[in-house]
Amino acid sequence: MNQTTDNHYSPIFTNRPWANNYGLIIRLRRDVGSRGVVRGRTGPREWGAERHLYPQMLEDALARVEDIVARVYRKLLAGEALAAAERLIWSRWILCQFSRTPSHILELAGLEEDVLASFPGFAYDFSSPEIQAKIDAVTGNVLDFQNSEQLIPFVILRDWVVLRPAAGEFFIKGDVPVVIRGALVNDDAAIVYPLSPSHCFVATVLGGFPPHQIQAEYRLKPAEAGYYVRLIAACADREVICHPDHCSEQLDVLVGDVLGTSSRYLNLSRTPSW
Amino acid sequence: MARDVDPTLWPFEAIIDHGNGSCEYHQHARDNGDGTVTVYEFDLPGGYIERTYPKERVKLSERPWDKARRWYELYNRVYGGEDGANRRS
Repeated sequence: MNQTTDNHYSPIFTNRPWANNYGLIIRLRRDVGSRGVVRGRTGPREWGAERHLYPQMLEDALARVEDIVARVYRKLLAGEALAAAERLIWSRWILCQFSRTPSHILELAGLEEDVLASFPGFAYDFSSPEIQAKIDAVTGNVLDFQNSEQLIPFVILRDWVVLRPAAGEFFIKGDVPVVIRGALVNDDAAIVYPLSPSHCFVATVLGGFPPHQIQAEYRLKPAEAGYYVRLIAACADREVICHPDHCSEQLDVLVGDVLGTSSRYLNLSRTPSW
Repeated sequence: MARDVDPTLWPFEAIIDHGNGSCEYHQHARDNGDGTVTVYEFDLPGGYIERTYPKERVKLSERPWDKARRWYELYNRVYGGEDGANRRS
């Protein structure tokens, strides 16, 4: 059996739309100690992977899922309606894609530590084997998470809109590929998943509960894509990618002040903001 | 001693803003429809009491577990049963 060393949390087929004909993708990241963003070159195979992120069993299982999902992905890009079974596949994929990134795995593994640290005067030292055991537990749950019947309804029942940018505008993709903001139970929670520079999947509730499982495309007005670009940049862990044609100083400025500033997945407090 | 509260009479949860930087959460509240909100709270020594506040000081919302139940009911209607199983396969 092949041993995969570079495990893609952002599968290659989802990175390809951001590459030009030469397989080039531009990455924008904020390096420690630097002001603004730093540009780099990458490609669909290089980007979105970490060495030894998953055990081989999980990697193989994800590979099987990805073959099926790639077909649904192409249908969404082509503006084709999904069948009910495909909606289920896509809903599982959204949850899978959300839960398999290094930042999510580390954050979930560190949740107990975060909770304990929130109590003043309470200290607990986590040893190295304990931390590894927690990380193993979280990676072991990636497939369970995507199969969770408890979460599927909040995705599959929403209205699905593929946003198209106004002429001359575009989307970017972050190293947190699926952004979920807000509690899924709430109508105004946002599930955002950029599919290509010209397609951004959004699951929402149109016109209040109950949603009607609509699938539609919507052309954004000029400058509206900028909101999604900044949201994706803010929710990224460390970096975002863009198509080489869209790389500009204007984009650097647009994402520079927000890149990686809101990458936390889990909100420990239920205290509302007024 | 805890008393069962009929959630249908108190369909909301409420957060009351006291205006001095503090706020107060109540799991059971109702909108009176006259610009006021009443919350049902445990108070010693008398047990449960009702308190009424001006609506502009209260943030009312559906309890998340009640809302979650509505999501699951909708899911069961659309994807549950034999028809749903056919749709999912």
